[in-house]
Amino acid sequence: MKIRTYYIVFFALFSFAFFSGSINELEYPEYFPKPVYDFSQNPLDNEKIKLGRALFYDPILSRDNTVSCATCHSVFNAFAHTDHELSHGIDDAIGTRNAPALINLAWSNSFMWDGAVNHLDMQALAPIEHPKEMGEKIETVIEKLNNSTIYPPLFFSAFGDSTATGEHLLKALAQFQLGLISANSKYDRIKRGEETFNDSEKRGYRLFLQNCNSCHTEPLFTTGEFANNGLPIDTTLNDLGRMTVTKDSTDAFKFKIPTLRNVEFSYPYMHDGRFSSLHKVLKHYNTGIIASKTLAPSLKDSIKISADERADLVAFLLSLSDKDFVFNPEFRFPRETLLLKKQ
Amino acid sequence: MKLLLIILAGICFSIQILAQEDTLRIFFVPTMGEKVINLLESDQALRNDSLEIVIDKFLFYASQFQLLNDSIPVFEERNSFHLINASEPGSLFIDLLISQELVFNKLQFSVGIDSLTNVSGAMGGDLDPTKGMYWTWQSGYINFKLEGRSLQCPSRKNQFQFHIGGYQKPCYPIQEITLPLGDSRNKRELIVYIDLSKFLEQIVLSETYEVMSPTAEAFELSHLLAKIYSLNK
Ligand code: HEC
Ligand code: HEC
Repeated sequence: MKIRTYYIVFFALFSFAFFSGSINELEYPEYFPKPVYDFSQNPLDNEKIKLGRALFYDPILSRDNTVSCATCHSVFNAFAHTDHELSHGIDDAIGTRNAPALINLAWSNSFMWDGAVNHLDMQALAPIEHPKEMGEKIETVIEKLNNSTIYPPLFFSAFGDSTATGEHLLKALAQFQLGLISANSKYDRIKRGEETFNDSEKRGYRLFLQNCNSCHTEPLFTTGEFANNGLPIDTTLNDLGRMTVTKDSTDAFKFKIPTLRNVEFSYPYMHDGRFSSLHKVLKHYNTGIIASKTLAPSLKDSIKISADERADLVAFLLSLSDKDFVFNPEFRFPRETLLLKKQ
Repeated sequence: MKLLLIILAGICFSIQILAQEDTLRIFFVPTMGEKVINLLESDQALRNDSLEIVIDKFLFYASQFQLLNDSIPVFEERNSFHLINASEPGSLFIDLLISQELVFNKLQFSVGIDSLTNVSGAMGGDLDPTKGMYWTWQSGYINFKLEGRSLQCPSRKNQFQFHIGGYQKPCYPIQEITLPLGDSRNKRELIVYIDLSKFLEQIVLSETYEVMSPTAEAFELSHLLAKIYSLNK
């Protein structure tokens, strides 16, 4: 045992001596809570983020090298997917759920619409091995990466070891995604006292606090919990939501409360992409709620809002759009890393 | 500064050569009754009177190794996670580095991965998710994986597949195994036998042959595991 400890100390000191200098801190506004991601196990580092970004955009992660994470998670849609209601993967397979936006993931403690994944690091295994998403085995991905020309040096710069491993692949992908922080919408600028709401947004904000904030709680616009918001059941899918994971019937039809940041860009909405516009979403909350055993108590009485008020609510929701996020050049396809290799 | 760190590291490295320690080697030997399972010879049919069985794959996590003297822990391996894979001879033993004078009379370890480790993100070594012991569609390690064939199974190719794992209560299947070993003085090798027939004989293979998610059924099967490990018979 002791020998092992010495080795660890030895390598820790050794690698610290060589690789110190590129570590950076997660930047977020002071009105955000503390992130839940444990950075001590995966300290942010520019080289790891760079590797993670390359992996996120590289179809090498899929069986036939056609599908990348970005195929379903597009930066311009706040990393959601807008062409399809349900996800569209390898061999043109259609999945059973809508690809969610990827925003402020460092504050999430469960992933997927039903919370089946317990840690951001482990999330990527699901799409990689899903037969309708990327259809690949993680072992084969690692082999392909180790046989490629660009990845060994990228892994070396990131982890001090040019051999790709599952752990390093997952940690790098997580690092890129942890950096996907949206905190510069009009709402945020107002929070920081740099701007003010117009009248319609102000009315919308008031309605939001009354009717929506208990689940879509600011400043992250989600509590991270699961709820049944009264959608009629789509009998072609019969998706039980959270109950699939907990096997507890009191969780039937509960889904993870999604953030509302950048909803302008992340349509279609809900776990199955059933609504194509915010107006349709509001109509649902207004008149479409279906009673059931697990319906959230706060939605037992439909939300009473007039057509004008709906417009105000939409105006407020649009103040959550963060153009600096969806147009951030750091979040896009990394041409410098990935195109070089293709030559 | 960097030079200093490198020198420091060098000193650490040489100290370990001086430390007086001894190796306790623990072998794991999977059996079917009296018969040792050798997965390197393919398609080895293990005929046992009541069962006609071929084992194709057998892996499990052994973690949290401890040595006890009566009930007092005298040695605890840190970061103790080992994937034991019947198809990989190199994984069928582990070495514990203990002090030469250590007196102990019990070996303790867990079959499986604790819940904290299960929610702590990506890990390397034996815990790397490329080892085939991590569920991808729902987070969680597989503690114990046994696959094979029996004519009793009505499945395709008469296969049975038991993937026992999970980390969430009430179905938390990790099992603690404590094996008494009598006097330990000068013991530097232990053999842990794993009798899979004791597991399979408790299962009606014509009904239960595919358990592959962290369910109540898997949890129930996990209790059988406590009885299949024994020491130096
Ligand atoms: C074929 C489309 C598709 C591909 C490819 C894909 N995803 Fe997804 N992603 C989805 C869908 C659909 C969900 C929701 C799944 C569910 O709830 O069961 C999702 C969920 C997620 C989530 C959870 C977000 C949350 O807040 O719960 C993350 C993170 C994520 N994907 C990252 C990735 C990464 C990283 C990759 C590449 C390794 C990837 N995705 C590849 C469709 C895809
Ligand atoms: C009881 C909790 C709860 C309340 C209150 C609530 N929501 Fe939701 N909301 C949810 C859940 C859960 C979902 C996801 C449901 C699903 O996909 O099945 C959701 C989804 C949404 C979506 C879709 C987002 C996306 O990315 O797909 C929008 C938009 C939305 N809600 C807006 C609102 C507005 C506006 C209000 C107030 C009028 C509101 N919600 C009130 C729980 C709630």
